[in-house]
Amino acid sequence: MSSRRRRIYLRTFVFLCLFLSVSETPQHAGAQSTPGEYQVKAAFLFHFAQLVEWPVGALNGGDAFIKLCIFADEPQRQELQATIEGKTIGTRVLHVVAISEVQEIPGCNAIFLSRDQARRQSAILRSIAGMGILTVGETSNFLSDGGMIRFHVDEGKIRFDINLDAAESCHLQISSRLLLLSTSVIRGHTTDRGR
Amino acid sequence: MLVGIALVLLSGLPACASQASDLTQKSLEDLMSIEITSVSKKEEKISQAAAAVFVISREDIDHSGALNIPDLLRMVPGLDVAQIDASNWAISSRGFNGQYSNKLLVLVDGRAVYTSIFAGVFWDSENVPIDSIERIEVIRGPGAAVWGANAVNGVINIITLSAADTQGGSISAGAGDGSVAPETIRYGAKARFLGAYRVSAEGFHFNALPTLAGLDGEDDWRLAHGGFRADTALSAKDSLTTEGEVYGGNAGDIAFAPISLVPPENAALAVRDRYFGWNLLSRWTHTASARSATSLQVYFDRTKRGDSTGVESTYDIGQNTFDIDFQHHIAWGARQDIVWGLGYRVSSDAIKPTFRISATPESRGTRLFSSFAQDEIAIRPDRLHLSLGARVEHSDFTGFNLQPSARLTWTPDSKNSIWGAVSGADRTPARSDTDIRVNFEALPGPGGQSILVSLFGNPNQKSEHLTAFETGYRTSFSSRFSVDSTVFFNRYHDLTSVEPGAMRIESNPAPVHLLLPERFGNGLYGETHGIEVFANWKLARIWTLNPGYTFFSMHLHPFAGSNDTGTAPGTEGGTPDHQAQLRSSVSLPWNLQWNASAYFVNRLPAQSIPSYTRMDTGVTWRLGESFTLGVTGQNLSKDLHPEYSGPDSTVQSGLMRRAVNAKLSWSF
Repeated sequence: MSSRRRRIYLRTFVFLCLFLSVSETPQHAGAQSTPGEYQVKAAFLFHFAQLVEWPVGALNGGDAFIKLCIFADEPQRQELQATIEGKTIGTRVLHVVAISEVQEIPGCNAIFLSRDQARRQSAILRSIAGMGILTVGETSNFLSDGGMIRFHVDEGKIRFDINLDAAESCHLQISSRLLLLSTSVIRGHTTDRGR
Repeated sequence: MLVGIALVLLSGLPACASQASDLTQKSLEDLMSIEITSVSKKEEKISQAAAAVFVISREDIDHSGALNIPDLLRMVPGLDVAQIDASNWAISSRGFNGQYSNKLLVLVDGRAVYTSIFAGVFWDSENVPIDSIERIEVIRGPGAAVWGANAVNGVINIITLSAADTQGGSISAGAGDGSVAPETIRYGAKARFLGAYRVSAEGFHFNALPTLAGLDGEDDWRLAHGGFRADTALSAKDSLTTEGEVYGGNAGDIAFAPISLVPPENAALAVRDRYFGWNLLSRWTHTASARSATSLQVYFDRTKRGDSTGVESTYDIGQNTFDIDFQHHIAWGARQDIVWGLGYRVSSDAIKPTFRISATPESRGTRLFSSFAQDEIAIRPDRLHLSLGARVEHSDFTGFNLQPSARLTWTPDSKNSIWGAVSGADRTPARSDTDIRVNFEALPGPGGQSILVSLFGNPNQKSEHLTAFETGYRTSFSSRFSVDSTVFFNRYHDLTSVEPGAMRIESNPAPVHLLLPERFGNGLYGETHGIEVFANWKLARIWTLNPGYTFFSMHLHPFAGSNDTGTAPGTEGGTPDHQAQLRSSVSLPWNLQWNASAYFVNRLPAQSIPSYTRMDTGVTWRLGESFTLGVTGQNLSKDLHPEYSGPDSTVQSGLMRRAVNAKLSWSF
């Protein structure tokens, strides 16, 4: 009986070693595994929330939280939420909420529209014009549709463009550091090429 | 004990998950330096690393005003695009151009559209709606180590938009004095278990062009095309792409062909080429980690075409192809990036005998096994990269083929990059090389007997082989001006020749007649060399200029024992030695975009085609959020010029007409 049990233990141990070695190989292969696109974009969103100043009274959560609402399908939604939900910005807590309807927007301080929302993007942006909500998106016509910050990928690296006109019309202040790092800034209907 | 195992398992899992560091702790600058390219995306980078690559982007397509893929390909420097008649083109790079350019491989979303019956591409039936194309990658030079046989002088990869990028509806209608084209309707949405999907339908009609003699070519071209694509996320790591298309079309032609062996032997037949086909492709991609991904792709393709119009017919062919392809991409250690794969393709065809074209055997099945591996090694990360690859194929036609490649890129700084490559590639014989018989012409002979001139395939035909030496230099003088240049030297062996045979008496087909046979052989060898240079010059924020220039030279020679005297001069003089282009793109206020391009193509001495300068221009105007209006003019500088009249062409050559086309698109 005890020898049988030992065999089972041994087999289990061998199996576990194999399982772990297989599942671990890719991570060990390099110095560090590459994060997913939306994990990195989430970190960008976290920085945007830090470097944008909302008009007085716009943050309905007061000093308590900043509400970031995301229109995105799975698995992007999950990656975004898992990376930045509950992080603190100054004294405020970043609260990430997944929404799917325009009616759910009131109360959001920032919204992110993923690529798969391209179809209703312009309708959503129009419905919230002037509401003091920071808008971030990723389709090629996001800025021309009235969005404020647009992600794009250049040689595998994430970059962003800023529509300063759209932000200023909502009285959102975008820090000069963000403007400096952006690829291009739309201001007064002209485009400045940055870096 | 079970509890123990569970504990070990549970304790193991969080250990894996906690490896991802907190990205919010990184600065914006650090975040901007993270490469997020997934491994599957890296494949594009590999193909671009050390090769002469040009990418036509979605923006280029939007601005071009092109009505079909061949028109779009004109902008690629180094590509030789010549229209033959309303529905046929000769497209190649680095020489050997023809209606069936047999050394250029073309793929649509990973599906080879190069036919193994005629060794070439039917550009008239391969018509992906250009509104659904994400980009077209064109690689000049051999790509056989990765893409397989027949990628000898180039590879064209047409990649369609993901269904997620084509959500919503879109309708476009176009018309002009040369065409009613294209009429497109597309709708994309999301379904619960399917994910994002789209369906589309397109139809067009191009008017007939005049023949070289100025008569009506009767070659008007119609095509109807329906397609769908679904991109389903099976899990966070698995995605499934399923796409399919069905098309049917026809185009007219006046064919001069022998019809009988009693006078009058030859006739000018007003025929209609009819084609029909469908295909279905499915690709499952599994991303195991950021450093390992696999993909499994399966497709089936059915093509049928012919010009049977009842009594007279010059050809009638059909082909079924099934292909399964597996690829694994893995990052090995810190410096190596490996892609390897296995493929199997089986195709069966039927060539129904007509008086003009027949094949022995009439139908044939062929199998192709392939395996390849490529390793990109960062000898010094960001500075020196070496890429070694090879592909081994086994086909029923030719046995084993080995196609190796070695490429080296040196990037001394962020503004300069130099690459060099040595590679081998094969053009494998097709049915038209081994099994075919073409009755070209019947002439009145002595004693009332006819003489039939016929070309025979050679069952012992070997692969044509290329060894290519290439080097390229890319530099950006400033953020506004960059230049990309390539120099190549190619050596070809066992090129296809046409060997004349001795005249003999033949009784089948009846009546008894004299046969003047010609037969394919591998009797030629030769060299080509050339230079391809193009630049991207942002003159102002709103104005971009793209000049380009291509020089090409070819020398072919017969092996001892070959009696082919016609193929070498015909091929040498069938590709322009100088080509130049200038494209200009201006963004105007009020959402207006103006594009203009001029293409100079030097004469084709073997075909008596004089040099020409072709000018095309287009204006697109985005009216609000949902409407786009585009007006395009083609051949503005000169009405009625010929572009191609090669002896290989199966249709009468036409004269390109000045044409204006307008297109209105509405998306909702």
